[in-house]
Amino acid sequence: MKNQEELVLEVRHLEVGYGRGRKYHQVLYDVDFCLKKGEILGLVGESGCGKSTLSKTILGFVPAKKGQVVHYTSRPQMIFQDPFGSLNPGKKVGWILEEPLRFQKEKLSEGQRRQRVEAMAEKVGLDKKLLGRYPRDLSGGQRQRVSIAISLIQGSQLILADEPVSALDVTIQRQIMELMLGLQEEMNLSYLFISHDLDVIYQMCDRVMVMEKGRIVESGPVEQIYREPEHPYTRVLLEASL
Amino acid sequence: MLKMNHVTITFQDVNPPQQVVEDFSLSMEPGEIVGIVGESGSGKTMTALSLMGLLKRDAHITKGSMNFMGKDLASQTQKGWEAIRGKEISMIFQEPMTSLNPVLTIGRQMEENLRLHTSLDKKTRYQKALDMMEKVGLPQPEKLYGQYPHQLSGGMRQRVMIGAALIGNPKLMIADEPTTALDVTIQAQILALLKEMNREFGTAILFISHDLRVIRSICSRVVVMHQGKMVESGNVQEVMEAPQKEYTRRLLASIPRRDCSLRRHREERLRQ
Repeated sequence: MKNQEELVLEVRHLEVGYGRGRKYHQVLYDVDFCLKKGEILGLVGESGCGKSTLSKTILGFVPAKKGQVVHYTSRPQMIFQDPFGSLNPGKKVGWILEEPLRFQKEKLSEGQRRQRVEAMAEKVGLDKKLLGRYPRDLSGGQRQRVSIAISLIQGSQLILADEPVSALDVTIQRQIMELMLGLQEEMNLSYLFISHDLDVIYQMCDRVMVMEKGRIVESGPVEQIYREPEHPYTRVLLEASL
Repeated sequence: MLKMNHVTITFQDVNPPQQVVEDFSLSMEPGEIVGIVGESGSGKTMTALSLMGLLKRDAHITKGSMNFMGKDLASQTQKGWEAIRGKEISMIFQEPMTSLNPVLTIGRQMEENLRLHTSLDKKTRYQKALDMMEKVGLPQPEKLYGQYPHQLSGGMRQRVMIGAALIGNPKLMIADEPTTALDVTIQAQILALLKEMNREFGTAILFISHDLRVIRSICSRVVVMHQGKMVESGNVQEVMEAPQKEYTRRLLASIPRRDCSLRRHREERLRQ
């Protein structure tokens, strides 16, 4: 691992809940971790455990009740399970990729923008021809490549990936995993990689956090956690997955 | 028990007609668990729907024959199908929320197949429904009987589906991605339940999944499909350990595993 000491994200004693008064329902309890530059940190847990709430809180979409989130890089970005919902169906792929560049502070000419879009498309393995198509003309794997390109086009260093390969066929899943690892190496990105699939986490991550009912019950290097799980819930998860 | 011979399913409303399943053959013995594995668009669900007579109107079986316990399935009328569905062959789906009726009680849906196919009176049906609910591991059957699908968790809804599918004691159950939408711990429970039901009732199961890991854990035989064609079939162990076809090898190599991490493998390669 490179740049061992440099942090990109710090989450300190985070408590998050929804609703107020008697209807208050706490979702996250004392979540505490940091993410280093160039690191891929996995977050595994079952539905309703608070995985997605955590990523939303990190991005500022959900307010924290207690604790804090400290970003050391600009513009953390997110990749979702099904990019179809986040791609504008009425616009061509090239236009969608260009969109973030039109609104950023740094002004770019049209030519520069197109150049960046084409360079990024190439990086994520999208054929130039596809820039002239609509999202509905693309396959699931191609759409995920588009959403990865969007997340990186402004130079983000921290990517929150929420089940990015869960909806894909296994052969495509493998390609997207390889792509994400290649981009990580090339640009020294940091990922918070959220998945319910322990095998995918094993393949992708350096460290893993296991979440149960809003608490991180165990965390550590992937190899160690998978070989010697200490918390009973980690053991249950490892045994249940085939 | 089931014999599909060189079945071809064609969409005829497009020009030229598109074959979604081509030359598919499969035979199943009573009590057997057979898997069909394939990626999206491989034709696995079409094959399953054809066995239930549920193909959309523009899709037709254009070649081949399908025989189930001496009945020719390819030439069944709507009426013929009604006597088969739920009684001889039943089906469970990926998302029970969409296949359970949201406005009917759990109890009523459990009994559905008894009401359609038997002349049992209300009391007997009620008792049978409660028995079945207990068998599929649903707690407090009396209370659940009057509840609605939205009050149940995903795992419980899938148990309801399985119970409702098995209550008529069908010879064959088709399970189309029944655990795909479930958490891993719940998935393990549902797979165990299916195996148990298979043992107890002797119901044969045709198990459809994109996930070879799931197929491996429950099936004895497997058919690999790709783009509408059968790629390979045989004993699960043999196919997984010594795949004969390139596509099967690729599929197997893509399964995420808990050894040889992609990440660490790449790092090592970079270091060299």
